Amino acid sequence: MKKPIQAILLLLSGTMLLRLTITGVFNYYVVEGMRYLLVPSGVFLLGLGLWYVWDLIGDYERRSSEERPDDDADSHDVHHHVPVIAYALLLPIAAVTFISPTPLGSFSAARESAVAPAPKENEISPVSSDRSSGSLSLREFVTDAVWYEGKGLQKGTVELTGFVTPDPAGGWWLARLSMSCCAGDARAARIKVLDAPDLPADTWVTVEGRWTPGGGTRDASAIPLMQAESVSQIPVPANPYE
Amino acid sequence: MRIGLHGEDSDLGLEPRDLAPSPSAESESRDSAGYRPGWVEAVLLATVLYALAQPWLSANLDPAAVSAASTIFVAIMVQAMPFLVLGIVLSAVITAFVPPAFWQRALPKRTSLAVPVAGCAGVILPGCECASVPVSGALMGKGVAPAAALTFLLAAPAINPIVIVSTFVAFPNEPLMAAARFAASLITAITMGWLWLRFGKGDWLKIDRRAQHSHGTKAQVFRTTAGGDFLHAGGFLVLGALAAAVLNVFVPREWLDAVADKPVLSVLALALLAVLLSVCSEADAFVAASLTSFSPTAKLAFLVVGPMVDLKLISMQIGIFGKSFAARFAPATFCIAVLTASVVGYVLL
Repeated sequence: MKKPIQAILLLLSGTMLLRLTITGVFNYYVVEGMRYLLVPSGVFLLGLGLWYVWDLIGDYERRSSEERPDDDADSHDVHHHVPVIAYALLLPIAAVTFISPTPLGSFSAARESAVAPAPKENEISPVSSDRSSGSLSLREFVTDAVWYEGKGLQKGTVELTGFVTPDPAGGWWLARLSMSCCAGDARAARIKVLDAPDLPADTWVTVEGRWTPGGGTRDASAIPLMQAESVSQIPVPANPYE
Repeated sequence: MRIGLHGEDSDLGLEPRDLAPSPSAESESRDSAGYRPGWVEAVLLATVLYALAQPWLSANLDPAAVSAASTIFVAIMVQAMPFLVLGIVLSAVITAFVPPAFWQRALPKRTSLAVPVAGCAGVILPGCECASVPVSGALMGKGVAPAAALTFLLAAPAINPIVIVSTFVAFPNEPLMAAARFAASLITAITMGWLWLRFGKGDWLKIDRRAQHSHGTKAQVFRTTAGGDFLHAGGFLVLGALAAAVLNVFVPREWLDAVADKPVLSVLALALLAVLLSVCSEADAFVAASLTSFSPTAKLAFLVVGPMVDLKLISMQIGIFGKSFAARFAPATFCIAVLTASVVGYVLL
């Protein structure tokens, strides 16, 4: 592979990492903390690419100052054979450039069956019992409803944010994905929203409502129920995962 | 040069990168008497496959599935790239600045002793598996015995402090899980090193001895090693990430649920899942913890196999160490890892 092409691949890879981080789109793919690893890696790759360019300019000047053109431009340099497989690095760049980046959504959320994993032993409910109404994470709601008989959800209404995932049995689930590192390890939390207007899949909504018993307890595949009082559409949150 | 490959820029990196290959190296690829399919055949085959598959694909391919696969593919790449960069920087530093004599002093003379030392040295590389491939390639290039470098390759991503701590956090009720992971991974890595020492053949493995032949300044060596390793290993990482993303989306999850309560099958199933998912070793403990219906031993197998054998690693090993190496090393590591995890899981968990 020619040196200018190597330089281009390095510059593009570095630029991709920096662009994803600066525009915040990296939140669709990896956790927030990765920002601190992505920026230095992007800067390093960009710098390495620029160093290649600098070297190429040097080659060019050397050649033009010599009498006859040098056929073996690399002869003064350390030779490193780079195979054509390196062109594959264009694939992720093309994927974020030409396919509009989307966070994982209803397709992934509907695939999982055991979406309410048991909490750790002796752990208290994530929802404190003196909580007045307000917003919760979907995962907290599910854990409390399935494993603590909805103890923290008795008082008042709660506000939950997620995306619409069609339930094959009719109506829709409110779902949200969480990840520990990247979208490859995303796990879903799902609840069934009762008396909600029909909405297309992957619509982001905030639902205000009350927990209703009947979704099953102490079972990892239980899906808790929520009686909706209001459903409002919202734009995709800056961090689509929780 | 093989028949069917045209010009030095058109091979897939499966030739020795070695500037002065030993006469016995890669003897099978020198066997130029037989017919070997090349690019023309590959393009024709791809065209035929496309023509056959296209009607089926456009009828059955869910756009949501394609979009999810694309997101997971980019996610694995974005997640892996900083660790790949860490790996290529270390590999370039080793190649450009650390003299071979250092390794002769740092490691015991007898290779059979150097293997466990290299395994324990894995504790110091705080990265995941993408970092350790270029680093162990550079170690071999500097004259470290392949058996020791391979032990390091397997041990480093599994037993470093970050991975052990994240395992501890993911399994708060099973503190032994982190210990079992550490023990099983180290045993597997050292066993593989000794097996390589006893049965491994030098010509299965291509070693990049660039550093010994380079005549540029140290900065030039650093630049070309870092850039070359990134492009080389990164290209193979892309293929592995692509395969993992496609399988993640298109393999039905019900297959997993069906085997969760069968003792032997569940261990094999999670070991295979680790190979397919190619999750970074710093995150895989959380994935394992979420597979609640499986036995602790099956989860341990997932944690031991994942950092040593997965699709992106196999792809990178093919690139850096050659096809004939990866074809033997990856399956052997898989078997030893599953066996060790089963025994350690039986004893500890």
